[in-house]
Amino acid sequence: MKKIVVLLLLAACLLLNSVVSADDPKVLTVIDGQADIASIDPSKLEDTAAQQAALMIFGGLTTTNEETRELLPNLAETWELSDDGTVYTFHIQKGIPWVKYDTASGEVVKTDHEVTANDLYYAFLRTMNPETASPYGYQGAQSIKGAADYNNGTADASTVGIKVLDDYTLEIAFNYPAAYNISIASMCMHYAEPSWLIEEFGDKWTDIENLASFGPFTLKEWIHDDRMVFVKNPYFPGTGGVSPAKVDELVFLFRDQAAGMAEYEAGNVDWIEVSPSDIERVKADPVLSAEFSSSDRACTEYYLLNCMAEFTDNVNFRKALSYSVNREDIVLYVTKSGETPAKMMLHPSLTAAPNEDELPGPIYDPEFAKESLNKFLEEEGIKAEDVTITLAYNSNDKARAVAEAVQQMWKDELGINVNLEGMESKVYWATLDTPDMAQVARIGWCPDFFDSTEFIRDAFRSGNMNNEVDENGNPYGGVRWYNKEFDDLVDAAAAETDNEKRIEMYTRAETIIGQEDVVFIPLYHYSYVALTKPYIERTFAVSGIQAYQNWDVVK
Amino acid sequence: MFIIFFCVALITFILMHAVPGGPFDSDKNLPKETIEKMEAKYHLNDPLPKQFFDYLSDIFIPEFSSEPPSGLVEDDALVEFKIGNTYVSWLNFGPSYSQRTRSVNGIFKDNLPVSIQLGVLAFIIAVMIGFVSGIIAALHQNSFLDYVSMSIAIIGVSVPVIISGPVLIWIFGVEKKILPPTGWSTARPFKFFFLPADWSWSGFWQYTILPSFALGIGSAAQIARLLRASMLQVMREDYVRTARSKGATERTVILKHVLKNSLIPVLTIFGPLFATLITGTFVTETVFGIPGMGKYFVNSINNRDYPVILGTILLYAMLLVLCNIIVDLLYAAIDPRIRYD
Repeated sequence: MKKIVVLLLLAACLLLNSVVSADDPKVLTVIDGQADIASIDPSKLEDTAAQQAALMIFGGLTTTNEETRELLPNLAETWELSDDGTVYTFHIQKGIPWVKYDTASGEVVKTDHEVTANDLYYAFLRTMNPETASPYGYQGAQSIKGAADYNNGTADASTVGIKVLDDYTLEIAFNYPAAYNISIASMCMHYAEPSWLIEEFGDKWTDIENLASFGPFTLKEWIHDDRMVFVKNPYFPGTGGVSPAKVDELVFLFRDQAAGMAEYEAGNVDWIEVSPSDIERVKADPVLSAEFSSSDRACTEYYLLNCMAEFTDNVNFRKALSYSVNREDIVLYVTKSGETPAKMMLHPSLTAAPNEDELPGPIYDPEFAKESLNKFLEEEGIKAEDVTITLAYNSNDKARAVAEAVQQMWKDELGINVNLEGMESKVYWATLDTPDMAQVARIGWCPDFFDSTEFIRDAFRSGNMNNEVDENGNPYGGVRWYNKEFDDLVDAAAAETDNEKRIEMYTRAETIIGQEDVVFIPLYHYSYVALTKPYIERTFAVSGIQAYQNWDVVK
Repeated sequence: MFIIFFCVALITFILMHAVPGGPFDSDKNLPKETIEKMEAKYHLNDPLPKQFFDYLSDIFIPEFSSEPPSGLVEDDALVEFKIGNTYVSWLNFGPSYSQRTRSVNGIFKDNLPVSIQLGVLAFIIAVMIGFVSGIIAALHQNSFLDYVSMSIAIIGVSVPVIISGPVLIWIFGVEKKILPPTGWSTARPFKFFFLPADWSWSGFWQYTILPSFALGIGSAAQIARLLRASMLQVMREDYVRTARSKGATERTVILKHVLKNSLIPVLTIFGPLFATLITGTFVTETVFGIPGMGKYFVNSINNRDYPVILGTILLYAMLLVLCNIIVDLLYAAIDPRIRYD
């Protein structure tokens, strides 16, 4: 009798077991980049792919809706701003545990820690610590009160304007009442970090056996150059802006474009970006074309104009160059991936960006281009065929194809000679913002945070990225251009808090750099062209970073 | 051997620093102070000779310390042990600049075993196919069989993996779905540094068929052509005629006299071939999505990831030297005229 009971129990157990295992875990497999993730340590990462991986397992004070870019709470449930607009007091959501994947049991387990203001404070300071040498350390250092000296190693941590008022209250004082302060405070390098692990394991705290995280997923497996496997964090309660994950497992496969397409077509991958070389085939294929989607991506491709080089030092010539580029043709016949022609550097989805449709230019206007060219030729006393300029780009297929098209356009419309100079990437980036930059040079830019200042001021204000100055403040490298009105305007717009006013200011700034002084030629805004299996429910992120916790597998 | 290493390291070091562009140049022109901080962290602001000798001493001179290893990627040594109260760490190939939480040693540990697995299998396939078709072609010179196997050899040499790989993937992975299109065994950790943890069909073998065949066939063609030419030459030698005339069977003549004596030129290419195959092949690994070493040879240069460039080159140099020594020893085994005293 006993034996029978035992047997029955055993059978019941087996049955139960099989019932459980019949409910297959939902696995979402994506190719979110061809190369291995460089790092998931928030203080050390830099590129979009690494930010994507870090966002899955960590998170910042606030977040934005991936489609609308609306600012939403994340770790900070609520926050208050002081009257002068410089001091934020963040109230951290209680009950978000640090979890880890236990390799022995194969389950996600809670640790003894919860996310507190101390973890955020630690992350801010670690990122800005000069010894960490974080590539993003300067962002906080430039904005947070007293942080610059700490970041330069001339003052200790006590000077930094961040205070832990209690375990769930964090106060951050900024230099200026800028609208984007809160975005900087929430950027990837300021995600909460587990101080106890970093102190114990050093750089190895991100190894699976040591790692603790708190976001919608946690990391289960990382086989370098092959895959990264995330599992759902069942203890993540969800915050105002980040929901718990809908799928049980999320797999990033790292595959070259062709290998990735083979995996997609074999049915092993649910989402992949399509390379330009595959677009025609995908659109012609009855199955693939139904799974094809094209959506906006908040990046802009543009050409820098060297305002102190031969020929391009003349503003009329620069106008002729910009107004003779047919952007519609470029996106239709050259890039072919659903990009949108651009009239401005800012992407329309950024906070305080001008309305692109209302901008009169720069557009393709051959008559105006010709007129400007004639003015230039008259002023200089030369003929069009005497003009030879160099267009430089970093060698990749897309950049070369666009450059060849533009070369032809300038030849046809203006009758000038254009030399193309394709350079190996690192060589190109090393010469780009120096006096050696060619007359025309290509660059593409995606924002780190979604505010207009990130693009336009960081790129073109004198002394910034594409407009370097020497010790005396004179133009040195990049576009080599100075306009006091522009500099004052973008500085004022950065500190301005009224959004309507900011839009006006950025509209004016775009007019200066695009139509009046013409220091750059906007080409197009990027797009995501991707294939998604029909059984995937997904969102379309405008930034380069997807919110995979909102994706679902419905089979 | 140390002199070879020193020269290889020195030449590589000079070349990589002579190329314009540095590890932290990117489309995002970071503030100068930020780049200076990163350069200071990796000691790139030291004079070049100092950087070079620091690099060599980190690798070759064991470090003794009373403190346990720090856990920083900069201090990750390949050999770490403890004698009494002293911690010894040795063979530190430095950190990776582009993957900031990995060291070159970490890359060796994670990726080299995969390349060795693929390389050994491809080598076995190359030798098997190469020998069989080479011998057949030589024995039936100018016959139909000769033409067939030599045509296959020519196709093998002239169709690179970048063409044959996607075709194989398409047929067997996407259309027929018999084999996984890309990837490699994900079972970890490796046994004895490089053996797979899981020997099952679904855990290991199914991934190996396409890439090792695609990679091996090119080398097989090389071996076949070389062996054929060498055998044809040996078959005309006097001692082969002597062997035949003394009444030895054809089998004995071919295996004992002809084949053994034709092996020398084939063995010569075995050394570099084996070293190349097991240190990873960029194209095969990229086409088949295999997480091996191959891409680090190329990408480290694109990224100006100096320690990874030096590490991969030194590794390749070491294996090349080792393989050539083994080949030299094998010469002595098959050719009695070669003796090392």
